Amino acid sequence: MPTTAGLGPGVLPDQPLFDPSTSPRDDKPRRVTLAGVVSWIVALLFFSPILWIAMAALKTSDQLLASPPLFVFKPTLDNFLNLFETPNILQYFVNSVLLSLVSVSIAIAVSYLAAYSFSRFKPPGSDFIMFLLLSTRFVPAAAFVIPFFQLFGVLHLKNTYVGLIIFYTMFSVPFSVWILKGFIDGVSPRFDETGLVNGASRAHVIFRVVLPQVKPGLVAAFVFNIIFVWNEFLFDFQLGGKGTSTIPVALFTSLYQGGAVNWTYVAALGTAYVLPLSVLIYFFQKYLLVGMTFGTVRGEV
Amino acid sequence: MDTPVSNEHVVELKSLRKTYGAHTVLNDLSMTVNKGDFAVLAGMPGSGKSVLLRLVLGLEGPSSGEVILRGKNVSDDGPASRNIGYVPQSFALFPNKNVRDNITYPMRLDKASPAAINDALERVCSLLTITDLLDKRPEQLSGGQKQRVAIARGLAKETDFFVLDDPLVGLDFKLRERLIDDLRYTRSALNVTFLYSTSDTLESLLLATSVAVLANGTVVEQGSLADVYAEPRTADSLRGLGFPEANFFAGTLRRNGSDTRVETVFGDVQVALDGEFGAGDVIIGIRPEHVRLGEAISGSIGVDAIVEFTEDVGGSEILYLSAGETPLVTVLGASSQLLETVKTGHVRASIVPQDLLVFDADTKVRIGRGQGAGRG
Repeated sequence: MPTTAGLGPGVLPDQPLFDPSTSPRDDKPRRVTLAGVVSWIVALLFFSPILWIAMAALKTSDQLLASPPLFVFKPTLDNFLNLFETPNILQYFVNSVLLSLVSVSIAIAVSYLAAYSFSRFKPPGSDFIMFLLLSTRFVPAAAFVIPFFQLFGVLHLKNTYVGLIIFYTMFSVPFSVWILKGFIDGVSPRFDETGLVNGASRAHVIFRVVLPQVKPGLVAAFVFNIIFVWNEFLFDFQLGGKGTSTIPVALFTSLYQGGAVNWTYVAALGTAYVLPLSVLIYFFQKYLLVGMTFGTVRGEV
Repeated sequence: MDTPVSNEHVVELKSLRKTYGAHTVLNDLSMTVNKGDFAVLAGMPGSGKSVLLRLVLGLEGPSSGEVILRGKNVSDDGPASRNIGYVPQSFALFPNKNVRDNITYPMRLDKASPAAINDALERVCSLLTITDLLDKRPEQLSGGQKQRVAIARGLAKETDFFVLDDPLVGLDFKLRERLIDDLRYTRSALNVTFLYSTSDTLESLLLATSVAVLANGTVVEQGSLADVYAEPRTADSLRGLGFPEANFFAGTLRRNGSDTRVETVFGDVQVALDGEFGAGDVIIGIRPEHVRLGEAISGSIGVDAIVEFTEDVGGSEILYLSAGETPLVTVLGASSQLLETVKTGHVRASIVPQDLLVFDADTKVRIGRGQGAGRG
């Protein structure tokens, strides 16, 4: 091992010039591994409620309530098959899909036009209007329940698809406008002008020139809002009714069966409910970051 | 330098004014573009060129004044009805379309027949030598290729008038040179009218058949390139047209009866006034090529100068001199024998007084020029 001994006293301390045991490079793989392990532990902790529901859905009632909890067991699909025997379960699913897809689709269409207008025409007070739009999302949802309850009662919109679609559309518009405006701002107005000068109508510019260039923004806004509407419980519970209940409400209202909580039912329905959204999020997760940063952080999008 | 084909106006702008709130961008601006011209709108960045083009294109309306296009007042008409081919400053190539679809976009909007679209595509692609790029996407193209495609798209429109908004900005020198040749050839091959904005002097000199110099929100001078270059009527024209930029000095006009003089770094110069002008502050300008080195010619006046540094611009050398505290710029051919003298660091710079132009310090309008009898 090379040392500084031969250089004479006082030149350098007599210690090895290179000590592999303290080399930072050597330390790196170990730290990376440690970081990886910690990441996995944290991720699994976050995932554990979903895992618990998924595992519970595959257990019998006895296995589910066993103490200590069973991690090794013979899985069964009976709970899922039993779901089909639950009254109205198909309608709950249809309601969830219908309300989510229709209201978010309308919201995206409306928001895209609004965002284009804010981006290109900059009406006076644009910033304040944008702030007002978002303000409904600053306040806890519970604060809006009573006014909406009364309003929907007066307008006879309670327990109607139209009423809930209007509500979810309204709630999906603010974030969508913010996300889409960020994307449209990133498309040079020269594109619009090229279209207009060559004889295109404004509608052509909006839908044929700019829209193809902000597709990632549309996907981001769609995914971001579909998660919100799909999971929404409070307003559907208050403003909906039997005919318009979604799965979250069904989960809550049919929690008690025969005087006790039917855990296997809850677990199976919860799993069946989470699955489509999980698949959606898995494939479109990069768009979530875009949505949460209003399109300012694009990542790979 | 091409010559204008006709005096028929394609565009006539009358007393145009454009304001944004309290900010006036264009003021009392009048100019014309003749049929067959390669009309260059020259001006410094921020002089209002792009706003002017937007008014011509119909992307914005004037606050007051008239935009006459092909003899018709179109001030209130939108861009679609104006039938103008447009090449924007940035490429603005649709990223979701390939080169073919980008180029044929204007014709498809015009609902041209497939045969007409193919003809136009062939025409512009052979003009700009981009036939091999047709199936590529914009992101697969280099900067120069993108610019050629953008120009091709602008030219694909079936029209007689095209607006090009500083289309070569940001491109490297070699590429610009090539595209300048392409543009000149394209305009004359198609026999159409170009209105072209640029802040680059070389582009103005190489492309223009006529030039309008824009400064402080108005056209300070307009005419054929040869006329404006030889006889600039404003200091802005002298500054804006010419490479390297002209030499300017501040001075004071002195009058003694009919004898009017200014003092310059070359000595006292007698001035022939274009009209009535009292004594007062003036700006004196002289083009770099009029500052001569070496042996003085008859009637010239000169000054000893130090060579500060030189720039090789391919084919010629730009020399930065200082005569006392006054900076001077001149040019020499790369093969000039005087370059040996330049290497010594000391030269004799001289001018012919007639080449000195004198402008009013306030209005920047030319009031006269030097004349024969200089006193060194």
